[in-house]
Amino acid sequence: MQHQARAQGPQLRTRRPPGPGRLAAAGVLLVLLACGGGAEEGNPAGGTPAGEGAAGAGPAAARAPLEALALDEALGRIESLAAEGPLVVNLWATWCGPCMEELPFFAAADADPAFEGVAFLGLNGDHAVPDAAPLEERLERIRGEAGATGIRFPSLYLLTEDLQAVAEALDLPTAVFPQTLLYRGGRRVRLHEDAFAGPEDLAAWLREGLAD
Amino acid sequence: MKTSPLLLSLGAALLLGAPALPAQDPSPASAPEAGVKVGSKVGWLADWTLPLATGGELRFAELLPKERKPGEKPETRFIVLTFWSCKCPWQIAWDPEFIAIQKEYGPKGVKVVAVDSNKPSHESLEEIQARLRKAGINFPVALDKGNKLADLFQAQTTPHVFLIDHQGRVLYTGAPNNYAYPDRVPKEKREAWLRDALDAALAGKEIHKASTRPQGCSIKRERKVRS
Repeated sequence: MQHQARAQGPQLRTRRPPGPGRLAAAGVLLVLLACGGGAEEGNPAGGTPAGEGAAGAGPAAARAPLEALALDEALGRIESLAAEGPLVVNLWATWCGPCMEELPFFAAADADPAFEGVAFLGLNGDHAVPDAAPLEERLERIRGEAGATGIRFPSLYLLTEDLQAVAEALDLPTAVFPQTLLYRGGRRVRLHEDAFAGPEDLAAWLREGLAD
Repeated sequence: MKTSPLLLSLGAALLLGAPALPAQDPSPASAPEAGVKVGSKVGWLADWTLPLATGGELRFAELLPKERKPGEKPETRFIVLTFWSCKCPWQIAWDPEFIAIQKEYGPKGVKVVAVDSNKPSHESLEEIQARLRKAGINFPVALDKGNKLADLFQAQTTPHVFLIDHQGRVLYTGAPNNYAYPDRVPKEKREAWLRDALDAALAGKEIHKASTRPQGCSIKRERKVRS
């Protein structure tokens, strides 16, 4: 990867858990996100086109961390995280039903001690589908819908309408959602171009990819 | 102009409402190798018959006849086969383009044919029929039970386009264009990949960009294909 990470405000952290300090910081972040002001009741007016949207967040649902970034900056973030250790990158969007169905599998893997030391990062493609809602409102809706799936790892909302550009930048054969990439040693070692069938399917794929 | 039985059955079904799915499993007579790329020959499609979402059947043999009399011109010069969805926002965004292509290129011997390979628990027949009515779809939409055809083509997305000539040769694969939402892409940046391929093919010229990245939603298969 050639893109460099660029600092931009308080960056969302993946839950790579080696140090107590990082855990405490993540806890504070989650509390802040969860206290951000009530819950979403599904898609706002003028939301995504008729499609595969997932269920909205319930009244008590936590929000998943989500930061809006330009594609280049997101690539830089991936590069930085991949240099630190194993990294799982999942492409998802709320307009993609199978994406929302499989997010709980990633939440389970993220919480699985077997994958301690593995960082999880979402790449959100909602921006590619037109939405009349203002960006901040849209981000809040997505945080709620993602939070309802149980994920607590951060995602990057890609500020691009061009999925072909995303696929090209990530060297993906298809511009399809969902897809999952596994990085080790700073380079991509596995690619899954479809949704996982279940948490065990994902866990097996990760075990294979992380094995020497 | 000669009207094909395929279009007649489609038109009748649209007018009269859609009967239930045929009970038989439309398995092919031959077993081609999986994976279709530019240059692949898919004459084996002639063995395939799929039920139409509006009732009746899509018989590929009518589009790709195995035998033709000497000098006889093919009624269908090119097939635009696309894997399709009634729900995917990308397919929905691109439906008007497929409708327009059928309208504009149909008189030139081009037939758009869509195949829905998503499992019925994800896209029911009723949902598909509702979408056909709402969108004014003017091309046949066939049902690929068990995603067998999608697996043979290794179709990845909805839409995923395959341009096929009357001899069964694949001339183009990928996305329809780079402007699913035309208002978001300036005219000077638009690339009409499928239209360019059709124009070149109809003129007997080389297709400059014969393969592009498929873009859209994943096909919700009955059986998973692991990468």
